[in-house]
Amino acid sequence: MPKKYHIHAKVTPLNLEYIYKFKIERGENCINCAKCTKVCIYEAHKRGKGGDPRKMADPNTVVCRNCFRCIQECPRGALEKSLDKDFSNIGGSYWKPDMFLTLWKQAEDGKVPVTGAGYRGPFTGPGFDSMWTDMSEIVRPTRDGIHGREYISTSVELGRKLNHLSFDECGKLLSKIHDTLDIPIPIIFDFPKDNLSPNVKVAIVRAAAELNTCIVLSPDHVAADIKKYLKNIIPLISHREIDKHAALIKSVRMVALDYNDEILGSLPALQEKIKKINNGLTIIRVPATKSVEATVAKLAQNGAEIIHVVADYRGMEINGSSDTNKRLAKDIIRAVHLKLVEDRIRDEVTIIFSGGIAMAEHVPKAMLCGADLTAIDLPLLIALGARLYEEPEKLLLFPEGLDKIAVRTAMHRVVNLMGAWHSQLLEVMGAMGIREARRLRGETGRAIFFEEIDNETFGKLFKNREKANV
Amino acid sequence: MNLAEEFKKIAGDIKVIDKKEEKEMYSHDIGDVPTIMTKTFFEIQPDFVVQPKNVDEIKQVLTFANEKKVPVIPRGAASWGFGGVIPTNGGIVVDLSPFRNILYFNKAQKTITVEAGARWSDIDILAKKEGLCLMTYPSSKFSTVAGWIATGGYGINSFRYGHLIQQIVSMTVITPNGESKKITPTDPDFMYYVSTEGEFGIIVEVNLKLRDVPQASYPHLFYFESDNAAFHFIQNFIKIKEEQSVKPNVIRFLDETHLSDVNQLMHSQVFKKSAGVLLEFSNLEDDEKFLKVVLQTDNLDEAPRYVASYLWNERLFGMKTKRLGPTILASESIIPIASAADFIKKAKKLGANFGVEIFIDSYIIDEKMALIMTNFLCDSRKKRYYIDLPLQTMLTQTAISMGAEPYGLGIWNAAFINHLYNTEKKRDLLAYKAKVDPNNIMNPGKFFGIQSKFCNIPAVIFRPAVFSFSINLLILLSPVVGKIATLMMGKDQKIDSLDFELTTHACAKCGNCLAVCPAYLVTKNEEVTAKGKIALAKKLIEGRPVTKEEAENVFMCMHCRACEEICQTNLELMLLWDALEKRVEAKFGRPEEKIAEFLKRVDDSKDYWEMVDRNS
Repeated sequence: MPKKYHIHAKVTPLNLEYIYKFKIERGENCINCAKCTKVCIYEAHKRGKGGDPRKMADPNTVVCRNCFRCIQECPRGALEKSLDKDFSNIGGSYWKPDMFLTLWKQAEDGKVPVTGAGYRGPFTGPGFDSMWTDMSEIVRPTRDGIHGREYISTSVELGRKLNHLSFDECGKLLSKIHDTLDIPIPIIFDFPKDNLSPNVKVAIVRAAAELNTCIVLSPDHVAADIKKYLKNIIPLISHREIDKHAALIKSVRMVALDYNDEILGSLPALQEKIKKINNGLTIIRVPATKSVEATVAKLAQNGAEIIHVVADYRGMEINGSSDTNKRLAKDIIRAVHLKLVEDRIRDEVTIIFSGGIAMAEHVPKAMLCGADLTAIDLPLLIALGARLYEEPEKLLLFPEGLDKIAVRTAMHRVVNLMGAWHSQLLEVMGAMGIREARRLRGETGRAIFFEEIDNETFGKLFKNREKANV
Repeated sequence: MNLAEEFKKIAGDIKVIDKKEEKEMYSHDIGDVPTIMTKTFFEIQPDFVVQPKNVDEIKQVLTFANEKKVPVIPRGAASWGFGGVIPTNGGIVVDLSPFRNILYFNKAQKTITVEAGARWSDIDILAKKEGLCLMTYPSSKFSTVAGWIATGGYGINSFRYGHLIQQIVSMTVITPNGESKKITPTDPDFMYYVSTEGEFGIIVEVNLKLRDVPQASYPHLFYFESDNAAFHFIQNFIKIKEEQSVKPNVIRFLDETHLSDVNQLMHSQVFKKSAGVLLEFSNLEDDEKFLKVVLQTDNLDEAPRYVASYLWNERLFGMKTKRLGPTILASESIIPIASAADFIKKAKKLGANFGVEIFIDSYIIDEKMALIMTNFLCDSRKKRYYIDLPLQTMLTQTAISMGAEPYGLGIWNAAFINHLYNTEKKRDLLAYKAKVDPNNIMNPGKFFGIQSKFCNIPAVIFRPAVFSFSINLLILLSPVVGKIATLMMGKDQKIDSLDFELTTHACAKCGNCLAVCPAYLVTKNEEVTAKGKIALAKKLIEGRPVTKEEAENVFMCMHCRACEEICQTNLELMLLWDALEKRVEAKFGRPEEKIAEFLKRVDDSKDYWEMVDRNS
């Protein structure tokens, strides 16, 4: 058995302007008794307001772990914890404010923070939130072994596979087995298009290298500073520029091509051309439009090796009609997957999905829906302290001074983030009793879809009546 | 060697305060002793002050005093105005204000045992947590238990529960010869220690009765077109209350001037421009019965419930209107209800002669008598204050001439002793005094008679005969004397807003802040309290010399705002502290180390955390 894949986390705090979910505030009626100092084990409360040791200073929310002890113990009820405005404004309907806190924390130390304080509301929501993963194996005694005895592989294979093997009469293999590429986690990086400072770019590329995964990058980003990591770089080019970038293609293992209709006809030839340069694999990058499953099916029929379906940053269909009619990641992937299954070609291609992969749980969920692996972009930047706002339009804000942060620091944060995601992947798989990430793909039997179960349980009772009322 | 040095030799760890500036706090009560009196009459600076922690230490002090034949002046919160705690000839002030622990709470028996300095407010808070509360309590609820036993006894709820004496189960006193006695109301000696202003010994421990916390509070306020009508209503109500078995806890009279002063303080017209009677009931049944009685009475003008509730809830802040002064002077006596209205009329006329506005606050204490407080605002910074001072006595004299008795003697009422005790009773008291206190060390120079410097010659004026003659003469001449004085020196205007200087004068020195001050609890030093810091501010403003050490006390403050919350006169104390600290800092620098030490002391103090928890 190969050596276990392990991601080494390293505590890497970033001295940036923090955002807290709950801000502790000290009211005017504080009597400076310092009871809060006594009861707080995180040292959030200290004396010394304005240099006067008699007065209590403003609480330090950064260290607060929301235990509410100070609030309970304050003899005057002078302390208040309230949802911070800055916090609730961040993100939007998809990128929930809580996600940022989780991602920041994960990037800081690679650990998985506990989220939420009790459960309120239905166990469901739009998109991935309506999926429940199967935890039936959670009672197994070896569950604790996910980092120890139990061997769970998270690696996935990229490339074209054969539907079947054929042999001649002598039992000699006739089929030519295609080359594939293994990566140890079902996640590759998709380089965000935003203008990033050189240190951030280098850091993300190095993180990809450190993790042994790949990063999709536009060739004009491939400068001298990352030449060392070419093996982990997937240049994203137009199919017309293959010759132009021949030199680059020579030293990489995969090439990504932006999809357009021309590609469909000339596909096997294009792949052959790339193979000739360096025996590299080709990824066709397809936007997740309304008819994406048809496009993907055609590409697959035409011999595409790897197809990368790209939804928008909220995991929604691109160029759909109105927001409400747009399919979400879960449904896009399932549609693509089922179409390929119908066409009996699913096993032959590799499907990468990206867009709206925001949390660790989205990776196994995307795979359960039918993707072979995922690609991420925004979480990489959020790991570096970026804030995203969905309204009124997508806006990404980088912390001030990000361009001066050491490459190592930035790299460690990305590695930490992936470490935390990897741990969670192991956790989910361990609980499901799945030992290999490859087997997650399309394994809908290991997931519960809220709509389906809702329909099964209550459909007969209520759905009919609702119809009748209409 | 001075007395303090001598005492320190034998004092062990008894806390002694003998620095000149620190002793100053212990030379007066809520009133200012006019300089002319300190020059010609009294030595009000004590030789030293002790803060005993236990009975043995008190005994030690008494032994020493007997040996040296020096006066011993017991002191509580110093919130009484008749001079009971002011030394008349130096001596040792026994400060019992920090001797304030609540010792034992007997829930089953509904009693509580406390040390002399325990605050009524603290007892009430503690008892309420167990479903019990105080019966009769003083309107200065932040005063000490023993202090009120020695001086007052009539207050809130005394109409229902009688004089405080009826709620004392037992108490421990230390006689001047150092003997410790536990006495109960049935003991013949008991009466010598109640309302006798520390003449016969020091009360050290008291066991008090408590009552169940009442259902709720039902206050009613009625308006009357005249004081006469109001007292008429009160008299009628008392007559019928028995047959109807209605039991109010409190019947309180407030005159028009009092109510309109409160209006002025609040800058709104909450109360009507008329005299008011406030009654309070503590359960629904009584309230309903009372309402039936009210229905039978014609044309009663009742204020809305919220107005009555407001007045009821403000009962502990009787000196609130001092802000308008900034000085308040008062005469207190116990007068037959039948004469009250006539007295008020006379008092107001007398006041008018001197250009002041008299306002009245009166608690009916039983079927026949009313405790009546005749107050007026003035300004101690002005010259005319010297004619305002004797006006207090004239008011008391007027009441006495109408059948009243003085409510306590102290220094300023000592000349009225014959109206409080008849000859026989006085002889008895003097005999007992001679027996237990042969050296006359307990609080001498007051109560029985004034003693003064200069071979007691100035004190002649305080001889009852001379005194009442001269006061009566003054009253007689008041239409002339008063008017001339008013003409020459003008009238005082009520003050609308306070600056820092006025704030220091508006402080009532009531000692409420002492009861709640955490810094005082820990340091046991009155100079760190609001009262003490205001005294310091006054000194600084007047340009008197201030030492670095005494000034640094202003920094021994937690900035907890407790003093501001409890302040009688609603002073903006936090602003004052900031200004005061700034000023002291500019002059002497900031004693960072001392502050750190102080904070550590507070943090380590068990008492402090108990106080924090108690008030939560």
